[in-house]
Amino acid sequence: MDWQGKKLAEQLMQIMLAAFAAIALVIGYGLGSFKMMLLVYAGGAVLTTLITVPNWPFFNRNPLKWLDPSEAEKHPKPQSASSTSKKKATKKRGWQKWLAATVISYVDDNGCMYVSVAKDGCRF
Amino acid sequence: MHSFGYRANALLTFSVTILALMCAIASLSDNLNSPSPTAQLQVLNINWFQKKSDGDDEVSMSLNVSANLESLFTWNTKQVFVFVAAEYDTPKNSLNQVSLWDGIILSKEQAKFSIHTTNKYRFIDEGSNLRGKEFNLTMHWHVMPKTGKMSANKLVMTGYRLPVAYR
Repeated sequence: MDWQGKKLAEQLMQIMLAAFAAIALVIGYGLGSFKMMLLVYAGGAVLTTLITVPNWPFFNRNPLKWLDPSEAEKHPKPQSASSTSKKKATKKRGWQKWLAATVISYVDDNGCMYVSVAKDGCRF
Repeated sequence: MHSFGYRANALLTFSVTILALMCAIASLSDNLNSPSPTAQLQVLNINWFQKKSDGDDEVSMSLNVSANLESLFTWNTKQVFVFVAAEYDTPKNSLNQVSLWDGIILSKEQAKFSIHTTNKYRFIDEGSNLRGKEFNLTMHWHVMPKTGKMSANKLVMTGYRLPVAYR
């Protein structure tokens, strides 16, 4: 299930349950039968479970498109050209070396930003 | 964080929350019903009236209990408990209630009834105050809803007088 699918599943679950509750109340009150209300709502809850709980293919229509690491290396992040940063760059400590990894970011249609950090061929 | 189990759990908790809300609405919908039950309670005959060996008065009587409690029933009513009590005052207690008959009404179809019965429970006064005593016959009912608060009410029929002498 991708991120759009999660959002869809959550919204579907809430909207369907609320709608079935409203329908069940109307039917129950209309027929004067409390049992009928419970049956309609139980049926709605089962249907909602079947639709929103399993990982159906339509929840995976917006998979994340990660850039290939080799593709990202062709477009390196611009380094600041000031002299102070050059001095610091000469005295890199261990964790700074670790940080000097390839950062790939990706912004999807909804403005969500996905960041992937890769170093020595490993992606974190 | 959004696995099968988490989604199932979220659905379960949300559906139960909504179910509770539905029950609250069903309970509130009872306020739309304004019941107007009617009842007729009659003492047909005093079968016998005596002083027991321990000094308490006891009466046996024939009663006619007819009532129309259909308006108490809504879609949220499980059952109605109804009982008929004799109510009178004595010098010691300002209110004495003696249950003479009771019944459980399970459906609207059974809510209109007329029965001829002797007192189901013994009418005994703890003392010897019943000779010539005027008492009220009261029909009490307790409405038990499927969800929500129980409610109770009563209808009072006034003016029955027991005989002055034992018989």
